[in-house]
Amino acid sequence: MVDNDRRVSRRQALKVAGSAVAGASAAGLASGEPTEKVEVNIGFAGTRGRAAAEKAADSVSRRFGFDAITAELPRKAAKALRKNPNIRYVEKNGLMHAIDPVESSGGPPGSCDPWPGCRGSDGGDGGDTSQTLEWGVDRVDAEVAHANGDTGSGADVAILDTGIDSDHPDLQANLGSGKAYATCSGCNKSWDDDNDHGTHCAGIAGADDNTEGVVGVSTEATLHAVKVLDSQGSGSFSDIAAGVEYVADQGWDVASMSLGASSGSSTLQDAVQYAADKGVFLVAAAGNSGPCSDCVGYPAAYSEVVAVSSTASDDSLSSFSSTGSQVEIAAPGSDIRSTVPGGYDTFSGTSMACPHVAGAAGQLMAGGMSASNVRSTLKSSAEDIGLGSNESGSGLLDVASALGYDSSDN
Amino acid sequence: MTLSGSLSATVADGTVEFRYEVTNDGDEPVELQFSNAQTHDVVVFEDGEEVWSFAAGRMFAQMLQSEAWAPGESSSYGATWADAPSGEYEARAWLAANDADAEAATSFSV
Repeated sequence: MVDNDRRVSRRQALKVAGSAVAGASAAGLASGEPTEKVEVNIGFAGTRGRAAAEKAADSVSRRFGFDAITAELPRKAAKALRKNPNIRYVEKNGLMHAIDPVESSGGPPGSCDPWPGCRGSDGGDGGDTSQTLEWGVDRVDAEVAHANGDTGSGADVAILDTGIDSDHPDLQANLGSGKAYATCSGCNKSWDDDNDHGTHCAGIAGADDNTEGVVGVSTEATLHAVKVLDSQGSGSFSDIAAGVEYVADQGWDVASMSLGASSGSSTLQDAVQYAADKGVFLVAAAGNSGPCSDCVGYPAAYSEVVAVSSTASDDSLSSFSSTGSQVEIAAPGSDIRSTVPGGYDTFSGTSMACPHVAGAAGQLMAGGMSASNVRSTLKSSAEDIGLGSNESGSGLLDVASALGYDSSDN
Repeated sequence: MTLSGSLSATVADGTVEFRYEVTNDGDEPVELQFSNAQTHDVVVFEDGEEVWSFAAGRMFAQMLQSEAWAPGESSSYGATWADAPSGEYEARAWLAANDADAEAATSFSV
């Protein structure tokens, strides 16, 4: 397959220009008074590196299981630490303080459906009386797996996101434990969802096969909420890295990351390496910078992570989907209906494509398959839908085929 | 595009609170699409060099969003720069929307 070039949107051009500026001072250490304190993530090598990092730090707010810490120290000390050969990186951490909520009299940003002709937030479609098979779950032939008795039961799928609604009737039977690194405002559980995004992704990966609402790609996999994004859908590098590390330490099977940025983080890269070494299947949204080429965001672009692009119901590439050589597989992401706190709603994004693959990985790992085997199996069983390899990688996710079922008529 | 932006910076104890307000000055409603959960950015420059950004060091949910402004309607967005070193700065803010910026700027000192 050949690459299909797409025009670079103005927004993408802006982003590139913006990140170029950011790159000049990506460290955030370039200027300011030397005694002023900065919060940084420090990656080190060996015990001497650890000792140097700990010694330089005024206070350490997080010690990762891999060789990194998040610490506060004077700007001058941070810059000096960079020159130490046992220090691999010193990067500025995202701000750790709460962000003021969006105060819009137009209400909170809602779904955007259909893209790009978005019409205002629709506030969801409320409750539903009977279960429906949504187009995305249908298109990847997950219903064939369900009909053959495959449920994903026994697999542990972590949703690293804004949390998961703790009492949604379509998710409750599958909820495992939760962990929060971002704060949840006005929530029952610390890992509850104060945004909608995480609950939506959880439903795609693994909504219960019952008599109501929607059904997920897995139907009985255990869904764990790892809250790394706040109510605005944003999270710091350190919090996200801590969430990835936590998933690895729990021995869970799948880490689904419907999040990203146009620039990466050495700390998060360390964390995904740590998790991959422990056998976690890592999957992430390629990003919504499209139409664009060679624009896959992070963490999707890391080699340990499966980058997922997004398709529409006619098998075309979603116009918003990022593309690039790192894309390994495509999955439905346009106009996806799934669970949200208090009901159901339709959202679009590579965020929605990612949990289709996470649910499929849950199905395979429930059968004892290793993460690396899952990765190769999902790719070799993907369906060619005529998109370029930079657009869909190996093709469209095919859950039935990955499990060894014939899905040619579905 | 009839959206205009204004940016204010309030400094207290080394913490800078930014408030970025976007107003529809026209007679027609305006609706914007956002590619992900990032609605805006605030970037601080010192002598032309970027020293801080709201979005740098953060990641965002990859879901499309939209926001609408009726004629005369405003939205307000915040950002907090904690532990800002003393100095003279210029800050610029813009919407992270696909088809409008409503850029605004302000100068402040810490």
